[in-house]
Amino acid sequence: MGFGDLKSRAGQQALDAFVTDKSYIEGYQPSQADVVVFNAVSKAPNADLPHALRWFNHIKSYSDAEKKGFGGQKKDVGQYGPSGDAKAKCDDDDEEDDDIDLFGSDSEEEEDAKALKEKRLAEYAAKKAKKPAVIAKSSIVLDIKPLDDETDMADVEKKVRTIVKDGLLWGTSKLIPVAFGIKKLQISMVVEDAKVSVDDITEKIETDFEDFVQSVDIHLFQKI
Amino acid sequence: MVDTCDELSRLATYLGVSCGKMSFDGKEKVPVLKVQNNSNPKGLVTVAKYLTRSSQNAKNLLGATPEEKAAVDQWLEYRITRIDRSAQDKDVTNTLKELNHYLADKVYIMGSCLTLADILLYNGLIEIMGGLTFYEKETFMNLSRWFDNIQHQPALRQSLGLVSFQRNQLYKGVKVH
Repeated sequence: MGFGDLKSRAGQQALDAFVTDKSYIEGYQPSQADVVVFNAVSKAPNADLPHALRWFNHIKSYSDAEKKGFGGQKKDVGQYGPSGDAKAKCDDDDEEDDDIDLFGSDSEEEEDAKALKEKRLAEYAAKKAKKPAVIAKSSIVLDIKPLDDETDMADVEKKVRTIVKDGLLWGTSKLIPVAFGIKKLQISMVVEDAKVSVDDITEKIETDFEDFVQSVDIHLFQKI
Repeated sequence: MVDTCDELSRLATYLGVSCGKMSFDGKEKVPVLKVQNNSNPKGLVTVAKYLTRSSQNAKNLLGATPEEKAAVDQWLEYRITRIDRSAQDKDVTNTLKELNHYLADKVYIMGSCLTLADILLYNGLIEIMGGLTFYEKETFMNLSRWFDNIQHQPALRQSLGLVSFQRNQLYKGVKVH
């Protein structure tokens, strides 16, 4: 999600494309979404981006007091706009940099970090409050059976945990003896249904680690 | 054309006024409102303005400044002369083109605030917009955007159905009028 840098030409082009068939950033009434994006743009877009300019002038026509009265909650500017934009990734990277600062904080920076953390928490709380039941999750326990009795299960577990995906969270694991000294790995995971397909993950384990893994089965599947 | 009576009663509901007894004059093909002192307003625009003026919460629906008031009047006339009386398809297409061009840099007919002109043009265009193909809707992009925005105000739409618009642009490189 996001327009990227709204002061840049590319960002304003993205905005122009976005508001071509919309009057407002969100919904059909002016909202805080418009105010946030408006403030990020700050200067009127060029006349060759007619839709962005029309939207900008329209929001500009409201007084500050009226803007305050708009509905909706303020979110980070990156939360608005078209989804699946490559530029949004740059924003994510920036955030990671911030995190590194946070860890390396000196005593002088501590207050800044604290303020930042509070802001993040507030943003997170607002986000959480807004859509509490929207994200459907599933808890799954996978049975991973090794190829033969010489397979190092600890290594397999390590390899499985290298699979990283947005919306995927690995949980605890344990080894269960099957027969003849062979142990199978039972590992639990929590996935967001909309983002992660369980089939994809089992298939990925089976194909990527075919030298170690004989089969992957779903032991338990539970909607949370 | 009996629809105009429904349209006016929707407007009355939106404005929060009673529309009293409304009838349809079959001879002149205009709606007539019966009011107490026998000077019955007649005709769509006349009745619509009467209702708006008698409403407490109409705010600036007829325009805030003298210039705006004049322009709103002009658009109300446009509704009657250009939309309701356009007999041929060619006329309709020209009207849509004209509106689409006009709305290129505006959110509402009068720019930034909703007026009676938006309400009456919306009502007048429902049937026409509903009959357009998705391709046509996309060529009249500015008009479609305006229409979609107005129809998503529940107070205005009331029991009417939504005209559907594509959420994504289907026709890349379409020639926009």
